[in-house]
Amino acid sequence: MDIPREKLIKMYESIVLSRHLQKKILELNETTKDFSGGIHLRVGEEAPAAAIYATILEDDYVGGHLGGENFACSKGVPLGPFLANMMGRQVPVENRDGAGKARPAPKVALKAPTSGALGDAQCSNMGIAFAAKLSGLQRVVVSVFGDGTAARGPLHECMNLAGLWKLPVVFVCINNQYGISTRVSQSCTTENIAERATAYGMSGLTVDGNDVLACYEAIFDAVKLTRAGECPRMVEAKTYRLSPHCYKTYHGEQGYYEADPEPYRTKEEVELAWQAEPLGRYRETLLGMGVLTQADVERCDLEAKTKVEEAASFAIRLPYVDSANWLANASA
Amino acid sequence: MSTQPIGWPTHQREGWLGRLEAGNPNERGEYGDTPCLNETMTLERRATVRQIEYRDAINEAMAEEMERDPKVILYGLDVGALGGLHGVTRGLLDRFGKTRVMDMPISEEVIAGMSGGMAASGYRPIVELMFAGLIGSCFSQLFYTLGFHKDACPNLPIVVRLPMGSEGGGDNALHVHCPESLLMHAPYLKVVAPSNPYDAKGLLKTAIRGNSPVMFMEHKGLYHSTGPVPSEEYLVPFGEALVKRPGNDVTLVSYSAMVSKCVSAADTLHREGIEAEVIDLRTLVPLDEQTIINSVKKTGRLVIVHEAMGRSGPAAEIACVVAEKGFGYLRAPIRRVTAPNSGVRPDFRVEKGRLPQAKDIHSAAMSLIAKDWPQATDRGFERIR
Repeated sequence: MDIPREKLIKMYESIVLSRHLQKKILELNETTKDFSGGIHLRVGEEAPAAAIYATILEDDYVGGHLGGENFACSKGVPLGPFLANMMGRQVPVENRDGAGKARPAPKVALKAPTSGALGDAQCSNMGIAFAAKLSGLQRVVVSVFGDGTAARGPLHECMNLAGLWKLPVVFVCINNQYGISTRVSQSCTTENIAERATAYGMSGLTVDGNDVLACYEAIFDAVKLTRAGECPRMVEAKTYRLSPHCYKTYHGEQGYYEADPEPYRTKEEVELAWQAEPLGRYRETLLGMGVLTQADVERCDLEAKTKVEEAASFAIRLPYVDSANWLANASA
Repeated sequence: MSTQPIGWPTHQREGWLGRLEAGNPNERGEYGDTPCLNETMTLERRATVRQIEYRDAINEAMAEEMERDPKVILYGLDVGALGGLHGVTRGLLDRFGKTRVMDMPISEEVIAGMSGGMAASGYRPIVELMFAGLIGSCFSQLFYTLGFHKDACPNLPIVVRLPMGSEGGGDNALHVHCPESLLMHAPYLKVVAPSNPYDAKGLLKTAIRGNSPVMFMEHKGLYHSTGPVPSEEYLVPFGEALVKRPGNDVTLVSYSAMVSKCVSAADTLHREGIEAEVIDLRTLVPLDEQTIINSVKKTGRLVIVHEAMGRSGPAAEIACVVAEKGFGYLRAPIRRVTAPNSGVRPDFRVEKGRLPQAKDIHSAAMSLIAKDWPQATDRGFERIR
């Protein structure tokens, strides 16, 4: 597939940025202790997110993902407010809703609600897809979920409905092999989650989720065909969660925001998986293709580091969200 | 206000639910089938008042709002071709077409959850679940997705219609359950429970025009009850309870199907020389606390009646509000008359015994009046009066 050079570089930059951001978050967690609810990094899973945002148009909608760093960096949201929200700081009004110095808030600001339960956001995504179809929009909805969520009832209802009504949805399953501690073989009856697609009247494709180009190709085709009316579709990206499920944040005594000591997998397994991780492979590929030079690689690394530093200093200077403040705005 | 019945049918439908509608008293001082007391239903104001069924009032509300705003759409199980399991949505598919009246597969999670995404995209969905008990299948969607996000998503013009309550046919637990107290516990859900066709139509129109998720608890047993509904457009606001019948001796607070039972009990009490004030809450969230407190200030005695089970039911919330804000006015403990904390035997003979009847309400009221409760002055401190 002939991928434009700008897109190749954009995907590379977003993955590098995401890695630096995730590292920075861990540092900030140790120094500021501002974070709440555990830190859930997803190193190793950057490729599908990069591919999605390199493919979709501005009017399209991506939903169901848990707002992680991979998606933020691939989407290009201003990282300062992103970090500030994570650190419990008050974001100034002019920086909210994805607005930044360089750009206003995006036009498609569909504020759809979701609960914290996995599989519920996908139901809301079906509403957006159906509304788009009713309104005659050319919008494609990319509904992202993981291998753990693939066991949830509401998701299956969504796939069934999307298949019935031919909703313009691309279901992207980021199969990182683990829920928290549950291997996918303990939660999924089939070898590939994409096999379930045919049960719902749609076509499904499994790709190597650590191969940025393969992800791009699969998602590009899926989005293109969906927009042309051959929808819904499913793409399963098989990748690996190199991070532990979560890192500890410093408030609250115990519970799920304790660190994940990973007793369910061996260090050897993780080390082996590092050898197949997406960034290194992609870098080699791009160097081989001549799209990047070594100087580009270093420049990109430096730019990412700078961006992340700027975001961190932006966030740290902001005041904390005052609990009284929040309630005054929130009460019915 | 005229006390002449304006051409109402002379018989009234009296099923096991008791008499319906209240308003001005007849020559025996009983409240029968004339319009409500507080409603300004003067002859001059109404072009035509028709006696229509509760379910048709709901149908009219939806039809009028769908006509008025093309973004209002309706979906649920069997709402289209069948016209709803109880015929509530008859005629809407023919009138508005299958892109606005949609039959869904049995997928409550996505039925309920989809509404969030549709609302975000500019539509105004009316979601019908077949039974209120089915909120169990989509509780996360209704309670967490719709009920917690006013800060992040201030505009969610969603109405979820939930047919609840007993129809007298001996259905099992899920099909007769009244789960309004569960939904009251979400911070941002409005909970609405009309007792008559007039309120049903007006409240539903207000719900559809509003910008927050509304749980519309329509009572299945009331679907065939009739009442006066003007053909002119009107809305019923949320948070305004109605005094169906004035009285000075005891306050009977209720909503939905139990209102008519309270009125019957009040008639019986009237014949015994006791004047009960009957309040129809109409909306549980927002709750009209002031009307209740004003009434308790007058009467000093409160009985709360609902079809839902007693434990953690809405009566508990109302009683606590009155205990907090009207404690000094109370001359007797607060009583609630509810279904018992038990299961449901799917037998129509047993059903009547399980649910509050007018005689139970009468007994509760009498227990507050007949006995001499120790007053605040007896206990050594001033009573606020």
